[in-house]
Amino acid sequence: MSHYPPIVALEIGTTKVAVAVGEKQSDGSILVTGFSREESKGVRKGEIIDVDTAQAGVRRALTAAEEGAQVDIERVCLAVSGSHIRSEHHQAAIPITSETGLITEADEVAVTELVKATHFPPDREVLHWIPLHYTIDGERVVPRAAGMEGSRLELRMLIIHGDRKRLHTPAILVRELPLEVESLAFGGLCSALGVLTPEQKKEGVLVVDLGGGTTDYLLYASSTIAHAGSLAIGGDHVTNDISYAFAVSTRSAERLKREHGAALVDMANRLQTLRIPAELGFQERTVALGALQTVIHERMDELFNLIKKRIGDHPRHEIRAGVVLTGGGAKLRHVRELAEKIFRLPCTIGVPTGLDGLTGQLDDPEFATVAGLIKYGDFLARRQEEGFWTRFWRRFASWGRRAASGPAIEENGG
Amino acid sequence: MKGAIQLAVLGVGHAGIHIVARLAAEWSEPPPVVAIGSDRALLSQWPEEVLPRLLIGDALTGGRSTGGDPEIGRQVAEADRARLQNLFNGYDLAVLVGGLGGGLATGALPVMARLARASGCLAIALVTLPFDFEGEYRRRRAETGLQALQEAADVVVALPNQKLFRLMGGDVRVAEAFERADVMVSHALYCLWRLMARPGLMGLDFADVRALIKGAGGIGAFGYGEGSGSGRAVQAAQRLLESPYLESGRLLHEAEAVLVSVTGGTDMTLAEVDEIGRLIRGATRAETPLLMGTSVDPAWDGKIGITVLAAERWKADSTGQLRLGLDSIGSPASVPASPPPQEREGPERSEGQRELTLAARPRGLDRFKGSEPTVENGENLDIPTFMRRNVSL
Repeated sequence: MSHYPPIVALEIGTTKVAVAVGEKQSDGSILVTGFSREESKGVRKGEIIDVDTAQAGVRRALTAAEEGAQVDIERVCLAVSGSHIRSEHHQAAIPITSETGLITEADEVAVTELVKATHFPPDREVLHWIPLHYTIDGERVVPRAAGMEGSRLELRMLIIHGDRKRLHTPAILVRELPLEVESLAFGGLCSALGVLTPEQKKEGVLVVDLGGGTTDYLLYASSTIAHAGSLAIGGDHVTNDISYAFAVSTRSAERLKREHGAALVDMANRLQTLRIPAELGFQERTVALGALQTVIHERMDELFNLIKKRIGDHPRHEIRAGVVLTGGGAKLRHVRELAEKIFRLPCTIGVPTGLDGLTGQLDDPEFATVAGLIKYGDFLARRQEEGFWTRFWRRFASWGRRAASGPAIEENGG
Repeated sequence: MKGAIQLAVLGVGHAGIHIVARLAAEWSEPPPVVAIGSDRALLSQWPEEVLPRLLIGDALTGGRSTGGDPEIGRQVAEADRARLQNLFNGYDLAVLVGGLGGGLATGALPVMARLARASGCLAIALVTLPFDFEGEYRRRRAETGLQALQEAADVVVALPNQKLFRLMGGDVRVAEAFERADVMVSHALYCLWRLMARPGLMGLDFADVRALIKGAGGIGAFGYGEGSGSGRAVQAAQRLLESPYLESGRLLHEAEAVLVSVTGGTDMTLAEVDEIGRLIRGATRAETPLLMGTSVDPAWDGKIGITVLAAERWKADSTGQLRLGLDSIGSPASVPASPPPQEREGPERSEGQRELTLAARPRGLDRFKGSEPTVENGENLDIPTFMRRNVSL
């Protein structure tokens, strides 16, 4: 039995509510001791539209995870998504005034505070402040600057922020249960933490989490997070397109997608017909496999192209580890091939990595976010444990290391 | 989701009767219209089967005109309250059409608007204001009438005839000027009715229309543009934006909420609807809620008509936040043979909440009901990609 409090990751997604309980072992590894998945209702495009219905699903999932892990859940880390979440780079610079020209840790703190003083409209709330790199005298780009010489120190940070009200909706729902919300984390960042290896982050990689209501993406390029964002397009859109194209119920459309769907059209079998039995309000009908896959292909093609446009042009050598697709949508047939074609990069399917315990259950792209959220929760717990000065010291001391294997992640802003 | 919106057009007085008569005669499938007047001779110019009518105030005027006296117009309407009230039964929305400045419309329209609302029917008044050459006396009466009407109706859309001059050029004969004004208003009314009563792929939710009307604070502006031939979409949009009633687009830019109805033939394409959406979106402010709907009518093959109702003020109910709806576009060409599934997995929202959502939802997007449309570069991505890309299946 671990003497650390359990880390509980909660994702209230559009399709599912997922809970994972992780316990820190004395050797530093994390053992997943509880896990549950429930159908999610009352969530659209990653945002809660019906609190009561959504809350019931969350309660069921938490109870199931508690029973599995044999713990009482009191506080959770919460993953959030939605098209309101955006990222941007901000930088600030300070002059180094010491006689020796030596940059100190105090200078690093000062410039960090200066970036954090960036004004945001009152309706925006910062989820993550992520330090990217320092620039000394406008030319030397380094992961940490203390101990170096220079007359001007600049820091660039990635700020992931969202609409205050919409971020608070799921948090309020959880607090009503009543549970404490330890932190909010962007789902796309969690997924990246969940499925990527340090090597992939170092080489540069685009992570695309194909969710039910949203598609979150995060790009590591040149050892830093270059982009992060969320599009309100997901598996629901694919299902809706199918149900609209063939005038079938959502349920039938969902089944067609799962059983026969593909992101590329299977030309050899495109004329094969699929029979959809009559159901209440809908006649029996047949659908050509090619038509079904065309509908899906168009949607996925558009989605990947939108992401490609959003992240902008990056030379191939900046994204050597290619594209990692994760989330439930990564299970769609031929989605990997389509992504390869559009991004012109090698593409793999990402499943959770780096956790022990119930990994058999978590071993599915669908659970990338909760898996990553446990790691994120562990990261926060480690920092909390450390005293104020130790924390600063450790943080700055480890920046170099972390920057090489992916950036350090700051706790919630705001 | 409610299907067709029950809309009736009531033409009151000389100008109003001419407009609804045109509406009834010109189209093979006209909207429900009623001509309401006190002048038997005027009403009998059209055969009863073409133009349903209601003669009011017979006891007061003896079947003659009100003689241009708004007070008599008001008394005439009050005297026949019960018969007028019956007209609104079963309708969601009444469009009251008339020309202010004369007797009957000026006096009776406010009474009728109140009766409509008492029946739970929304009342939009679409009224013309006199040409300058009609004189100061008429103008002042029209203004008094407009004021009374604004207090009584949900929305009043005033169409100053004088503004038409700019459109027509100087050498138009008086009779022709009146006729052109009537044509324009009747075409616009037809488009509006098609949109509500015979929704195409992109129908309008009555709740959305209602929210727009209820929140409009009493004043609205109106525009209409028509185009034909190969560049019809752009032509119609340009004519609309140049429309004198919209003050060359200025009122559109100042509008707080906009309702757009696009009527076209079976040959109307997605690209055209898309183009129109973009052009109109470009003329409004980015944050202005825009409700857009299309309707398809074989009688409009080769043509496109766009009607815009713009609310000059608009406020969401104080109980909630306004959710912005952007122009949603659907392709009438690829409407599936049977209506799209309308599964309700999400909870039914209360009427009060519904009123706050001002988003044009193409039909079949119930899946995303309650969430903000996903819009990127003015394109509603909730609409199936294959439809927006015109991919045949």
